[in-house]
Amino acid sequence: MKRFYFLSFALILTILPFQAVAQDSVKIGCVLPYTGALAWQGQETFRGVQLAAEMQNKRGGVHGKKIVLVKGDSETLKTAVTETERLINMEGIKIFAGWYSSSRAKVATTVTEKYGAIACIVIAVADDITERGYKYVFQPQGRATLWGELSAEFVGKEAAPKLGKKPSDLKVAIAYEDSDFGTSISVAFARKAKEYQMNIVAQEPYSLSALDLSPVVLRIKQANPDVLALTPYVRDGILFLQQAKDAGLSPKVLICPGGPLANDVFGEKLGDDMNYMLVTTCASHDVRKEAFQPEAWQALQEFVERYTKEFKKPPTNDAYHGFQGAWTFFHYGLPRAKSLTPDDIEKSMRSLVLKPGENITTFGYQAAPMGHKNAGANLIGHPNVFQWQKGSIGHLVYPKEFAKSQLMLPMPAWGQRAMK
Amino acid sequence: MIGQVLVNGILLGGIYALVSLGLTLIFGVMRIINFAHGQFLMLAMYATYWLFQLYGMDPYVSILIVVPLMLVIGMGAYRMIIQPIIDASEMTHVFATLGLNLSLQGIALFLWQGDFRGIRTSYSSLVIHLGPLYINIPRLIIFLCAIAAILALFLFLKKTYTGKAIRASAQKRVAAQLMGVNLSKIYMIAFGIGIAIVGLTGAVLMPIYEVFPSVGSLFALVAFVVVVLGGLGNLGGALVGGIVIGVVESVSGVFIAPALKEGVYFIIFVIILLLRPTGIFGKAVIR
Repeated sequence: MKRFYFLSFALILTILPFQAVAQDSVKIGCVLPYTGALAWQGQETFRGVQLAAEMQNKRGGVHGKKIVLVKGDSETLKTAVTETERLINMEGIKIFAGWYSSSRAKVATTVTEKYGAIACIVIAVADDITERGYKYVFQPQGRATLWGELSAEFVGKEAAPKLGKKPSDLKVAIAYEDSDFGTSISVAFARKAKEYQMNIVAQEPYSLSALDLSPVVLRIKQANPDVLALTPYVRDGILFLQQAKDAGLSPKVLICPGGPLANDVFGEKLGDDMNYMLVTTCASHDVRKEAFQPEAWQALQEFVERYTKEFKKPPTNDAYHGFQGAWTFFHYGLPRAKSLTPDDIEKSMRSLVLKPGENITTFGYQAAPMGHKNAGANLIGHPNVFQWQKGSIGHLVYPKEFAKSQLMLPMPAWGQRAMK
Repeated sequence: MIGQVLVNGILLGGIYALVSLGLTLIFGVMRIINFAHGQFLMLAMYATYWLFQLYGMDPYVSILIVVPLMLVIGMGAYRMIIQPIIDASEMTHVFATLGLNLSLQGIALFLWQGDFRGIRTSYSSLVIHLGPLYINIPRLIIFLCAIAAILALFLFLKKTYTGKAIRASAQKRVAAQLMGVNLSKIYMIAFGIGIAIVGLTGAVLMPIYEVFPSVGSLFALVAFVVVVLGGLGNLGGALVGGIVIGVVESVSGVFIAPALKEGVYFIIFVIILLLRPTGIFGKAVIR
């Protein structure tokens, strides 16, 4: 009898998580790392996605149906796969918007493609995600090649003159966490830097889970670079910068080609020492209103207001990413589709073209066609370069047509970076 | 450069030693591998963080609260979870502590979300210079705490009645009981002390590391390596094992490649175990 009650209880527990959804709703899977080492990023990205869904629902939803987000936890690569599969098989979901982390996005989209589900990757930029010829995978925020290349281009065109040097005079060190994300961006940065004839004096990958990054710091310090391109996640980024400060490693230019250094937690931890550091990211903060169409500007402001009201702080970089990727999908891609089947959504996303300023990003949208090396990637997903100034990352310095702030270089030594 | 590398490695070894001290004590006494060790560290770090945020209490001052708090938590965890299964199979111990691991992580995530929470103190980046060498003060403090904790624990186990009872229970359970030792109470105290040491560790780590629900997992793996390398249950072995791992990691990270440093110390770990299966200072256990 006890066994019967136990089995019944267990059965009820397995059924409970299934979300009963009304006929006037559409379920969209949102697989993100809600637990584990990337939980903070996953949480922030989800906030952006959720606000995009709420804002679109306020505008009538998609095809008259309300968007209902169904969460799946991609704490590890393995759970990225199993959770995606669970949502497809158990919840019947065929539309996805999610996957922070390139490694997780890559493995999970093998599942979505297998089942013919549409996958909009809100923020994961590794090139090889879209190098597999998958029909149903879209990467609206651009890809690592564009992020890495733009960062190197920025160093060559904008940073070098500020140092009174030609690009070929610059000594450049590259340090990065060694997953798909850090590697793909850093490889692209190095490639472009060599085109500008910059001297790569150190290239140091490291494990994301390392508890000590002093070996990386010491190797780079020995190379004595002018420029350091650092692509970490958050925890390791803070650790690296603290240990760089201990060691007195202070290049004249420090740029994060991949985005995480834009998170406020860096400012909270390092204070004025974050000033002068540069971050490449596609977030749309500190942008000029004149560069946007009125509807896009209004949507962007609404997102900022909603986020600030709900979470009592300005949107984080990852929240912007989540919102931007999801908004492109929920507001443009899905409504344009003839129906909400994966094939019709695919046609819509493939044919959608948005010029810079027409969307809530500075770079517009145009998906690479089938047959392209990166089918599904946003061909014009060029990110922006921001600089920490006066304790805030919200200072866009490049591209200049969107920028409100002035670039300030060279970066002073640790402890001398206070700005009035 | 080699001098700095060695300094960094030794200080890192102090972190590893302090993290693994409680684990080796618990195993040495009760023969239980506490897979929730990392999550207790996480709780201690959160406690330190909240004392700082809410009351402005310096992490080093908060040791006075966090250590007794974790002692009580440890004893409570033993009473509720470990004691009922103390005589069960090793597999039961593993699953019970793994379950505790996942539960604590889930509770932390529910209460505090996945946000990275750090403390900014005036001394977090304080460095002293000895010629060409630099030494980060918080890391030096951790190293000194590791030595102090080992000495304090050694004296406690050697000189106090409770300490002797703990040692007797570790050596021969049945004989200790026959000598009048209340095994249940001694195990509870030992477990509590092990977790109290984790409390000390959490407090002194906060000036240099952020806390988030899964931070414990980052430290737990290396703690197990240090404990096994030093010899299960051996306090001095935890210090030596920690320093060996720290120095190997630091040297290989600089002179081979940072991406390979964890791999190198695991290879050395395996080699040492092949040559000495009980660890550097461990003793064989006859069952």
